Amino acid sequence: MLTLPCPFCGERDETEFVNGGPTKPPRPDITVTNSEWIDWLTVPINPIGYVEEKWWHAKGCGAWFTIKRHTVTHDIAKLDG
Amino acid sequence: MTSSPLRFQTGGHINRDKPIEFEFNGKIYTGFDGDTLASALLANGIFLTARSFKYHRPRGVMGAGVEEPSCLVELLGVHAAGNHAATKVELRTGLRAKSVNCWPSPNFDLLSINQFFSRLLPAGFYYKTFMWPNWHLFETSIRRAAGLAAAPDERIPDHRYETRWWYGDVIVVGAGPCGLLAAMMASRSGARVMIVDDHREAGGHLRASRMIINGNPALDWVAAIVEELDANPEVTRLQDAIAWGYRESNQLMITERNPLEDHVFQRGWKARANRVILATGAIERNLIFANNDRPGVMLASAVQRYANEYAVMPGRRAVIFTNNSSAYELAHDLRSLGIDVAGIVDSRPSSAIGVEQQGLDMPLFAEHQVMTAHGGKKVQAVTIRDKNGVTTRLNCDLLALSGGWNPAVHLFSQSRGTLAYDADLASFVPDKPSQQVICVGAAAGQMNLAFAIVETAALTSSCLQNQGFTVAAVATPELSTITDYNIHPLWKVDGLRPGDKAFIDIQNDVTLDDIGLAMREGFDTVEHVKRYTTAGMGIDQGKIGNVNVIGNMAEASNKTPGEIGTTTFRSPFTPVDFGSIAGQRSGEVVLPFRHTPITKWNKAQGAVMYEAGARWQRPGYFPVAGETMQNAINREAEAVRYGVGVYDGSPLGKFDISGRDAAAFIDLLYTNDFSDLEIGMGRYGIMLSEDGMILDDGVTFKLAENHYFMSTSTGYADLVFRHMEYILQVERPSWQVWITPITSQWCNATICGPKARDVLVALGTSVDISAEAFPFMALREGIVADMPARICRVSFTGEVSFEINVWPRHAEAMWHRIMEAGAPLGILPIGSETSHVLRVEKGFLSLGHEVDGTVDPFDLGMGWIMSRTKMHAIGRRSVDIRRESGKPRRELIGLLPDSNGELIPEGAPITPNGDRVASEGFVSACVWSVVKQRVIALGLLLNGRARIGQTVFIRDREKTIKAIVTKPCFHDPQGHRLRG
Ligand SMILES: [Zn+2]
Repeated sequence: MLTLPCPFCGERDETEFVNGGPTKPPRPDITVTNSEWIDWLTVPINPIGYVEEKWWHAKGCGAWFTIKRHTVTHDIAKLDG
Repeated sequence: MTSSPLRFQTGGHINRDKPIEFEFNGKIYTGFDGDTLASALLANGIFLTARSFKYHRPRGVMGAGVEEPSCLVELLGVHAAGNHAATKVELRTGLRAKSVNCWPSPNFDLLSINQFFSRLLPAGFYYKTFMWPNWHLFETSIRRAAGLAAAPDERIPDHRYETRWWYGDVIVVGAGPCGLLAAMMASRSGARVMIVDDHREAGGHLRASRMIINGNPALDWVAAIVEELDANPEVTRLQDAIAWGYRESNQLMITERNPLEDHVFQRGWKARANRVILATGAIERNLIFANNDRPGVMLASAVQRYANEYAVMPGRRAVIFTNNSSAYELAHDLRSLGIDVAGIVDSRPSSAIGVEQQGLDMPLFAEHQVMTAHGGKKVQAVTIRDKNGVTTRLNCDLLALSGGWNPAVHLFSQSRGTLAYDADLASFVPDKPSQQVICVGAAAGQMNLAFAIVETAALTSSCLQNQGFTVAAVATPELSTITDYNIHPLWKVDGLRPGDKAFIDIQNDVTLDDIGLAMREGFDTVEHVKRYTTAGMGIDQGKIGNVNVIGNMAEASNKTPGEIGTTTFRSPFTPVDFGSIAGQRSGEVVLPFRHTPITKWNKAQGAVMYEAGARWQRPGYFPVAGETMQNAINREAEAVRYGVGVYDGSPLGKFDISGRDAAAFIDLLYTNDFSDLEIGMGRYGIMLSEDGMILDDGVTFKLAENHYFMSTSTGYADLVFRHMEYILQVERPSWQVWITPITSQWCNATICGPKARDVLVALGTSVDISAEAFPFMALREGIVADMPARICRVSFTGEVSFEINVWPRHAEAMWHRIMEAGAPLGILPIGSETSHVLRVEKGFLSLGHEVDGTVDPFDLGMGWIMSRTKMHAIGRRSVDIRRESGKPRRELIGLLPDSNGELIPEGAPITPNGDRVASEGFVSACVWSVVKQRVIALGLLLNGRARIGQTVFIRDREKTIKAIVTKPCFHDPQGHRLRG
């Protein structure tokens, strides 16, 4: 069970959150090719190491926020910048 | 009372003033408060306590704690639970237990015939034999033959579980000498501390030994520390509590088996600390020789614990077999207790045996090994063998083994710390931690207690200082005799013959031969050998046997145990009741039901209540006396089609959406155009997920510029909320839109049917409700029956409908007024079953029926809802790409089944010619239609729209039902009635 750092509520237990998967690049506009669209839609990153991902504080303040989580150790790191 | 035959008259830490009667396998025995079931059974001379998992060989108690591999019991009656080690069951009044794996009793076990066919049950037997044609054909009988205890059938009314959360600075696991010392130092430093110990009383190994500390019995030293810990309110001390899981962010899962409070049966703890100190000790391993599983073969440490803690001597003449010096402590204790020892069989050369043998007045067989144990239901003798192969027979009724010690690294490994092989210890020790955890004492591989205490003090001190606590020096306790551990690994005895039953994993009935067979068949990694042989699996998780498996694999393949490596240690460390994990969260508490203000009225009317999505409780139908379900539904449906009905639509998902960019947001969410929607009007829309599948549908009204009132389906409101928030916060963070869930802020009663308008007139309203002034899909605010209301003209039934939304505090009053005003018009309340019939007659889609996450609007014949200009709407691009492929799709159709009036189950497949082949569609809903007076259905069918008028075949188990394909609408296809 992780503890996750909500930017508004602080460290809270994982049970309060919903995972939204790894951060995607921004949604492409309609001018991209079909294959670019399909890549955006269907190819998630899945590294061994830190992954940037979205979480929703569903049973808290309702914020969608981004963290970096290590897929092996579950260490949670601050975002760059 | 008469004393038990094997109980010493004095000594031990049991309460002799408090005898306790208990039942085991149907017979009544007596033990004492402070006993475990295992110690009480041994005291009563009960050695044969179990039958083994696969071969049904006789088994007895082998250990004294969590390591117990063979004596698993099922608890009965008020304590009902499965698969508990008898060594961890506290004796208490009313305890009833029985052996698992034997029927009718361990003495006369019908399945014990398996042991004579053992050659037919080698490793991988199940995999090899029961693959064809289908494992499930065999599963039931195999589970009966090989299964462990069954789960209790019923909820035990007095079993109340609860969960507690705990946060602090330090959690110490284990209250042996090192754990106590660490906890004491943490307590003195001012830290908030939890100490968890799986035994009923603190002390760990000290309770099982006759050690002297600072010139007094060791337990005096223990008692002083316990008293100090208990006096500190910042210290939480849990006894008889097992830390069985190590989760992320330093969270420990703990089950407290016997909380002090009477009203709590067990308590689960979710405890989290900045630092965890594992003082979990070590677990003794057995030795591998023929018939090493006979009752009377026990771990040396277990014999020592029974003798010293419980004052029970599980034999009258013992042999000790060891490869290290720790078992000599038992020899000294037995000598003090006056027990006859036939000999110490030590596999080490005499040059390796040091001070530990001094003062022992008993035969010592150095460089000898036990070849085999004799006796069936109890050991009667052992044959030992020297290095030249000369054998000797020693008569005995107890064989105490020590094959060395494995640090209890289970929790450390669960925390994702790595392990390393230590050749001096011949075992695996904690290596690199992955969380904020340290290991101390035997758990860290320090088998010499004197050194362990010094190291524990140093490690604990720096652990606390790293957290900013000030640590005062502690006096090092002075211990009586400590001998060096000095193990010479012996992974198996010499001279074993094929077919010898030399068990390497007692619980799973895995022999040395099985490991050899697995390796000969090419399973050369430890994870594969584990799965193929089942060694180290199940409840046991390899506590006694795992390292022996690794050692023997290493020997057989000329590698070191370190090169073989370990399998993954999984939680739970010991079996735990599901109840202690769930805590209070059982039954309706897990996901509480949602109710509308009308629930009480519905129940009073005799409604059959259902869950109708998202935990909302709704009436299914309202039967009158003697009426069948179908008759009630027909009566309600006819009321709506030909008169008037009303349903409680409060659970409908509702959102208030406003802000500068609200219009753009609605435009992005829905596939159809909302830009030309006028204020006061609503529009039906379909929301797609980004992969182009239908997420939800519903009507959205425009209340003002950039202010909308959105409705969603009941079951998907929470999902839609998440979807909308994601888009706003992640994809469009610069937009200013506020989404307010208002499902529970607006209750509604929906009046529907040809006489709906008459009911509204009778109620009295400030709104002009004529069809001209208040058209279909409009919203009006005003007064209804003297209450403020928001009326929407939507229709989920195909008839004229007025959805009267009121505040929750007015909902019940409004409902009563509607029933009164509608009474002269014959109004009926209708349930969700009837709503379902009405929507199927109209071909209105239902999420979860026609929309199952694989369909898009074109599949439903709703291509019109895909705006030609809104290419940017969510999901649009994906739908277009998919349709470019031109592959045939399943399309929504109606079905007129030839089923003689019988309903067809939802999900029934439609197959070509009704053959038993891959389906070409399925029935999504099937009802008795009051307007058609026949069974009708909706379904999805490959190229369905091109096949209208054709006959298809529905399979209902072994039946085949013909059906004619129609358009998916059976009533008022032009929609004149609902606009009326
Ligand atoms: Zn939050």
